[in-house]
Amino acid sequence: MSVTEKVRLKHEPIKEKIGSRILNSKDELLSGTVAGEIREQLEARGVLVFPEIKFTHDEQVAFTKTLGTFAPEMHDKAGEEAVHPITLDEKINPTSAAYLKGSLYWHIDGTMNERPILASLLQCEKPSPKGTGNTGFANTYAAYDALPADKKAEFESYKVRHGAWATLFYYDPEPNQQMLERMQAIGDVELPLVWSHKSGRKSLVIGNTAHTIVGKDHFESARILNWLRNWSTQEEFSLSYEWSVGDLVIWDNTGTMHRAEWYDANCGRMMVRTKLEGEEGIQ
Amino acid sequence: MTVTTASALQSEEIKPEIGSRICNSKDELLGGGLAAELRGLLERRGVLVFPEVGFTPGELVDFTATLGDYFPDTPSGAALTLSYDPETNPSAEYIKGSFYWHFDGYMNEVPILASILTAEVLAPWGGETEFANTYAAWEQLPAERQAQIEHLRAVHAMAQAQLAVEPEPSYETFLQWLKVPSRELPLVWTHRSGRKSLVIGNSAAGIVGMDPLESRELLVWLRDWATQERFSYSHTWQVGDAVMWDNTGTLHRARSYPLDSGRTMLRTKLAGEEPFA
Repeated sequence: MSVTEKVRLKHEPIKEKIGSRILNSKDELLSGTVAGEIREQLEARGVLVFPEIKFTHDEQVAFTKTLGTFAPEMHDKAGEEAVHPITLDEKINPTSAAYLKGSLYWHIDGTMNERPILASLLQCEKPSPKGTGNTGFANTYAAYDALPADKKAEFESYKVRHGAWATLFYYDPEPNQQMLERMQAIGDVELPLVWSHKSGRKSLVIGNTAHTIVGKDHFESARILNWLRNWSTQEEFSLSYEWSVGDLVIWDNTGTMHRAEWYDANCGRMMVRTKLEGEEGIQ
Repeated sequence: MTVTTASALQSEEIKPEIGSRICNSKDELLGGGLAAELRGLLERRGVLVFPEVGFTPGELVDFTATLGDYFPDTPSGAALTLSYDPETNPSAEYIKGSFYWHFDGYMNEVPILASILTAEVLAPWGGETEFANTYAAWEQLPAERQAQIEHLRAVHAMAQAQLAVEPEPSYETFLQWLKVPSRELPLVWTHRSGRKSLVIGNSAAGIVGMDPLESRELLVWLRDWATQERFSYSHTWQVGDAVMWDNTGTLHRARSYPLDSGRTMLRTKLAGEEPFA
């Protein structure tokens, strides 16, 4: 008689309202048997850290596929789906290095897409010097849940305009006209400030793409968006992750904001990313 | 019989659409006999450069007073020392807003007419001051663009200018900025002279009544237009240079330089003579 012992997810919280460390072995993770539990924890905790898991590129792709629908960004020479290198070094990443400067400010990925990506998986190949280049995360489910009832009611009635073009002004306050036009061509959408997920949970939809609360005066709108960002990114709801080589972090893009903290673009910091397709629209 | 020798203004154009160099001696300038001609030239050229004229701080004030209503920035009436060392200048963070195109005094009923800047200590690199002629920029706009924008109004606010320096301020900081009242100004200023200039810059937050996306697009387009090569001049400083600009018909900005370099400038101002209209 054979005894099958079911592999369970081993995890511990990092902070009360955000982040958990996952302690299973690489083999256990790649087997897919804990995928369902990882998905549950991801939604519950916002950010999951796999300390020094050291996936190869192929393993990171394979692991990503255990969790949902792989969102292809890059393909290797054989046409296979591949990881996406993330660096500010323009020599390595000439097309997107400038665009990534917007990632230094709090944001949600893909707010302009019909279904923003569910999650990103980022692994550190070469960290920046200690004290620079952490990744910040803020739990926008927890930030919503902790609002007083009157604020919840007020915010649930708001619609917010989002555009990638609005992020441009964070790192290039005087863009040229052609650059702005290219960014504005990506789109501009109206979204609810409070996302009522299919699960019944609610989260705040803010970040550097949010430029105007519909129907509000310019600076009243800016004041409320400023308040919301500061509220959501306060210590209680946020986490600044200091990378070691081989660390992998998954975050729930639908219930967190994130940002890269400043680092020297020439320091060689290199991360690789995979993504999971979104499964629901912001409504 | 007495012989009076009135010295004539000696000037040369720097670029066709902005800037003139004034070649008269310091004594001729301080004598005041050229003041009326200098004022006329200032309005036409936007920027007047006095290469290595070497005004002392007192002479700078005296020269300024020959040209109009001297507007002191200091209790003593002396020229203001501008240095960006945060240890000696607590408003250094605010001054970083000057790295973006702007005019001075959007919050005032009557913005200052002009400023004169002299260089005392140079930065090892950078620190140029750039100017753009907003009279010329208006005059050269295609007629249809002129018609489209002539009657628009824009909201100007310190919060807008500061967001360029600090895009994610704390809520307390943001509220501090909002305490400075915002101001609605015409996008096109029709001066008493009949000439028109564009009223834009880093304080312009939005066009009244326009969708935020289109508003931002128009403001960026206008700034790009007004600051293009033909309408703008970049001044590389030598110690002793004085540069005067018409604040009612130009934009200006400083280019970046090492903030700990001890770069030191002196500034005087002329009081404004007409409100935005």
